[in-house]
Amino acid sequence: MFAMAQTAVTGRVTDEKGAPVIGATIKVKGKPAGTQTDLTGTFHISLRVGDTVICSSIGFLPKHVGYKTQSDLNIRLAEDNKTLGQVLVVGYKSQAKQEITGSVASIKMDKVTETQAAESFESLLQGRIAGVNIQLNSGEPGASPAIIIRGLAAVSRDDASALSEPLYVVDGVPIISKTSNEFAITSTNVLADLNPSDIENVVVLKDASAAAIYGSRAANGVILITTKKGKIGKPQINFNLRTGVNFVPQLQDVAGGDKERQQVARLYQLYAPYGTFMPAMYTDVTNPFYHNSSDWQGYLYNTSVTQDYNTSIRGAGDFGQYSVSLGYMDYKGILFNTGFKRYSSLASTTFYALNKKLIINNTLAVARTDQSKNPGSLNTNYSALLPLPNNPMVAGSEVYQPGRLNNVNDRMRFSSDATLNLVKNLSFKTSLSLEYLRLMQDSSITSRRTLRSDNKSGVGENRNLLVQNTLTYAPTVGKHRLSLLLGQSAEKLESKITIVNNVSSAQTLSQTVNWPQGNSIGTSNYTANSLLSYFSRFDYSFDEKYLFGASIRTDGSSKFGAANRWGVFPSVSAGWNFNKEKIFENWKWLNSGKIRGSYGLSGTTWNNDYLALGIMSGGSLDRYNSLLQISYGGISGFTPTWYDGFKNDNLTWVKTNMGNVGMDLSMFNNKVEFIFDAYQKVTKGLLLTTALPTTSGYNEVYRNAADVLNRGLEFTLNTNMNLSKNLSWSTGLNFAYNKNRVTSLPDGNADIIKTSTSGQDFGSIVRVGAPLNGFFFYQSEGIYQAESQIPVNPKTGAKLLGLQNKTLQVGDRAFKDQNGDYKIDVSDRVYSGDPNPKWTGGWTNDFNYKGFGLNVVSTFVIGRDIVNSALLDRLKLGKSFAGATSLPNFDNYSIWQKSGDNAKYPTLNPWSGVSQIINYDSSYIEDGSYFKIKSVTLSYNFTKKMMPRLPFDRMRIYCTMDNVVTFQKYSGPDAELVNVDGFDMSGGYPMRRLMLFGVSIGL
Amino acid sequence: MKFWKLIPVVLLFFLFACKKNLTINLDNRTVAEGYYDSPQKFEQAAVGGYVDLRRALVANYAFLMYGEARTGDLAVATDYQPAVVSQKLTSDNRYVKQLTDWEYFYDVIHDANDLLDNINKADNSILNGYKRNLYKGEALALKSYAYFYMARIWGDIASAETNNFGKHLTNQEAVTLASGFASEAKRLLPWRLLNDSEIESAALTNIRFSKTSVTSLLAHEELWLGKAQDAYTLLTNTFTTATTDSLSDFGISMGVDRRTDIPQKPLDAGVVSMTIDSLNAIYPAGDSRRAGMFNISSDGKTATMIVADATILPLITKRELNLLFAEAAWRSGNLNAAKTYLIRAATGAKEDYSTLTDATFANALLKERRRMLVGTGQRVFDLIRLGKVSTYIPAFTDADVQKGAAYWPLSANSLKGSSLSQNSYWLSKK
Repeated sequence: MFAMAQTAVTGRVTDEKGAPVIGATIKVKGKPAGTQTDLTGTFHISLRVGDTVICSSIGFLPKHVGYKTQSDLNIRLAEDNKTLGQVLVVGYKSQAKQEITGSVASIKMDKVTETQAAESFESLLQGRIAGVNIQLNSGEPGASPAIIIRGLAAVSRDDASALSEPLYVVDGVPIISKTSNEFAITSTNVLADLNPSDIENVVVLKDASAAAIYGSRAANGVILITTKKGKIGKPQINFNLRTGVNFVPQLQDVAGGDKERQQVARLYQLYAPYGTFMPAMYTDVTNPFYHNSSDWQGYLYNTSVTQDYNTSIRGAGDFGQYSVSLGYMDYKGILFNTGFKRYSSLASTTFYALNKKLIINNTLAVARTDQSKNPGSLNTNYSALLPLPNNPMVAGSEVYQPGRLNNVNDRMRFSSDATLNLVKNLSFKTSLSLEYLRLMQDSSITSRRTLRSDNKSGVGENRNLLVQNTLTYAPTVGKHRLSLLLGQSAEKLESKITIVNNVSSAQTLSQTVNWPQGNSIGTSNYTANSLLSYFSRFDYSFDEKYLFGASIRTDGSSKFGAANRWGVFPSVSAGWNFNKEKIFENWKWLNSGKIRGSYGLSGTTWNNDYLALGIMSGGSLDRYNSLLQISYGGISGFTPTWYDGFKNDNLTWVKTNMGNVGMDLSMFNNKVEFIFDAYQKVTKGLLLTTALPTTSGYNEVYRNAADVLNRGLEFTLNTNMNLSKNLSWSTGLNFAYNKNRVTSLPDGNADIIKTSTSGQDFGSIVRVGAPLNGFFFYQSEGIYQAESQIPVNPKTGAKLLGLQNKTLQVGDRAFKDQNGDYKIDVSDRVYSGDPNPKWTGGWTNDFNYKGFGLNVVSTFVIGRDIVNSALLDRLKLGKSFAGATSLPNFDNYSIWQKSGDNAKYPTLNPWSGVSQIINYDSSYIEDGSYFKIKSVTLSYNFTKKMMPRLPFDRMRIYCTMDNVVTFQKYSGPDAELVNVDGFDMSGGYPMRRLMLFGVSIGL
Repeated sequence: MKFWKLIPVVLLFFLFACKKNLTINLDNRTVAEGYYDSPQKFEQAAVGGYVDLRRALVANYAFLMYGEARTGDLAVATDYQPAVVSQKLTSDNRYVKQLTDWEYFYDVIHDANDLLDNINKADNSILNGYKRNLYKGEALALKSYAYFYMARIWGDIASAETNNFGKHLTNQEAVTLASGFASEAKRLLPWRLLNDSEIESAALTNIRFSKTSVTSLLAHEELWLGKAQDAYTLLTNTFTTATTDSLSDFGISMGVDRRTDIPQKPLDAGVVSMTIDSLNAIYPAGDSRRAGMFNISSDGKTATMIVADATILPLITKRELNLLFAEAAWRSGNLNAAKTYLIRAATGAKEDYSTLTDATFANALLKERRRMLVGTGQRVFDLIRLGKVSTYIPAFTDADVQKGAAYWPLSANSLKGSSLSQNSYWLSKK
């Protein structure tokens, strides 16, 4: 037989957009020959007509091409388009997506960072994953977003918005993602030091079977972050430069000079008691302030600039891989004196030794974040009649206190691991990681008048040492594939703080705390905890069709008393890739289909390391707030008592049972993907204080006392369509429903009316049978329009008595007398709203036309009650309302003035003795649903072909608009800037609107 | 690969599996375990009990509010005394509420029980005979005093002892419990306390429990229980001519207190006073002791107490001993001896006590106790013990006293989680 001659041919591999695919592997079916594409995507190989060329590259679907003519060798690879990659990192191992039986979602970060800009990667995940609710409750640079996976499951008695925070794991190492309150020197988001550009992908383990391998810290979900690594081929050098302008959004409504004067005059005329006069600035025409109208918001909020530069070099070969990246971000805040800077560097290397039997990885990450703020809370709310600080009239007077506050976080993370492939299918991995996080805060406030200064300086150090060992055995026997993992880890986390501040302020040139002896006060504190764990997981698949998984972890924590030290966290799961069954063979449109179910137990602990151990303290604050001084007849007395209430040796894990069923479908040539999950999460034993008889010498004891139930549904729909030859559209829509309910509380299920640490009740209640942190308000029934509408007690003839025994009048708020005792008091408050969002989700759209791309990211929340506390605070006028703060323009609000006014808000009488506008008025509860177009990005990709002269391979230019528009029913500024408890936080810092221009270049 | 090559790997695997990893050294925090490793620490803990006792008795002038301020003998310049003197003890006033709370007294008992536990755990190398006996005795005396005080304020109380924690104790049971502790303390405590140089120190003895004060306390408790003969025997056996020089007063050291609501001078003339009419009624002019105890204001309208040493608030004094002897003797049937003791006690009085009979003795004793012990907070307890409440507190009828009016109501906080309930008198006042 005559063999046809091989010819040397040249081909080219491009992606869907026509850009060259570098380093793609080209093989000929049935032959050993193979090659790789070069920088231009070109390859050279010898072929015979009839050969099948297999072309593959990471991130693309492999393609088989039969070679007949030269044109066959212009190979266009389709992206493995589902943002979800094929192999995902799950707990302590990687797993083919097809074989995953838990509820796991993954995001490729490149896709995100190309189209959005933010300081931290978590805020970039907003609206991307069903069931992961991310809320930015402040627009302040460096603020921490609230992340709640599958519903809130945390209870507190006070104003610390208890969050159920997930565990963060970077490249297999759990990192410090927060510091416990007592040790939190800075308020900066600790995770903002991870540069989003360094992240390859983020995997979220949502259900217990996926997360239980992380045991005692996994109940609120686990977020696994994989950083970028070098890839085979020519070294990749990338630059990503972008700069943008932050615009000031719509600010508070301010009446301004004349209007404010009129309004004040009117209120005085209507309500002021005899002999009460307006401050001179409103009446005295010769007063230089009289004609003033200062735009305080305009003065303090300004357009600012954001810059973000990232560069990296990555590569790989037979020796291993390397990846080095540098980043710098400078985000100036829109509010005077605020901003956020990040310097970051990440170096990761991999070396192969012993004929690739030994693989050694080293990662060093160093980052600094520097957040500038105003010390105290800078008021942007001064009266429009007060001159601005830069006005010479007020030079040297105390109009406002300038100062500075810097939060600097330094993090150094070094991890090193070695994997030894002992025998076939058996490998052992050991890793060591050291993490050092230093938080520093320096603040100083200087008086403009006396030049005296109040300084404070604090340093917090957090050290984490972690050792992990795992042994993996993963054989494949025929159609049986199994994987068994045994592991052990030991971790110790220590924190230390030192704070010094001066007591009496003095004039100074220095901004450090440096005072004469006896004038400074310092504190320091230390805490530590350690965790020792053994874990194992087992995964089995038969013919890739029937899947089974199980995991177990046992954690011992130093946080618990010796008797209750160990917890066991098991999980089981199963899956069925039903599309591989014969009966579905003819369903050509179905590419894959999987049904899965899981059940597992995981846990959470608490911040206070010594709660169960009992920290002793010599003096204590009793319920009457007296501090016991410990000196008696010249001898110091010391009666060690437990600092956190009676010591409870039985304190143990907060345990979460979670059941999950789900389905994954991929259809129509993988163009449509649908994921569905339903879950039930039962969180038991949340920590709360419960009362103790005082005969014990203590008032309270912490117990595992509260239970919370979350149930929900999650839907994800991803599509990827080619609308025409050049136009493609892909969309990702996800939405999740969650309902939460408190099922058990201590002290006989007694209601918890949340009270701030300073003793103020702020209208939130935790009640059995109701969602967490509901509003506990007076039920508004409108406004009394006529004297006859005020109810009269038929027995006594007495009129209904208002709050604080106020005699009710026409124009006052009518609250419902729930218990019918003709007196409005605390017992008339009712559960009036649920601040937990029912539906959350996001919708992303990508359009590509030739080199152009348009990306739109939107997020939404449906079914949430929020309180317009921003407005409430401004309408709450007290006796001294005039002259200090700005007033809103009353014309814009429906305020009662005379009988017959169909008004929403009652009469504003600053002298009524009893505030007319009260915190717990149900009229201020509004619908908090919103739909927000988060960002819109327009981009253009240049390719080598288009610009053969340019010295780089790829270039992309783009323009992003961030925080584009919000559609909401809410009358306040932004329904997103609301805290977990449902109160408006926009007064703190509004969200900027950003216009960003960027270019990314690949060499 | 040979199997044995795996051994070091496996060893490495378990190298970090040491359970010690879970033991955390609480660096600069103090823990119960291992804390008491020197006599000084025990002493600090004992002193801590006195500090808590100080808080229980002095905060809000509690000792007076439970005593002379309630009967109106003394006026205390606070906004809440009017409520107390008019017996509106269920008032909403924050301070009156706090006075109805027993929390501070149980803190003393808690301290004492902790200290006793730790003394029992300590071996002899840490705590020798004298100090062991002293601290144990002080703990028992503090505990006895706190129980006895509470039983006299509230009547029935709850036990804070481990064997019957939270149990409802009737007044008799409570005082019996207290007297048990006092009698053990009496055995352990010295007449005079030693200072760091092991020299007897009057300064120390005056502010801490000694044999004198704990014996007085025990005698008091037995008298309360109606065991007058036991009390008489106890007093005569303990206080002999040989011990006269060893006697001491006991008071609370005021010291410097960081708390703003604990008065540093609880008997200060600016706060505590008596109208001149009251003074004349209690101490008729001509009584030679009067001038040494009271200052009359320049306008002649009020009298204030002369405080010899403002750093100590006297609680159990030597001068009370003869009164105790007198009461014990009288109630155990020795009227003549009783008269002798009373006359000895009341040196300077104008009255002639030699003619007293069994029927008139009680009033004479009460009169002298009222005079001599003014400012120590015992007045109401004396009235209860001698059954004279309705006579001297006109707001109460005998029936009221029967229902428990002489005692204080309990705060909601004290009742919460306890086996007690409000007595019927105060229940009707809610």
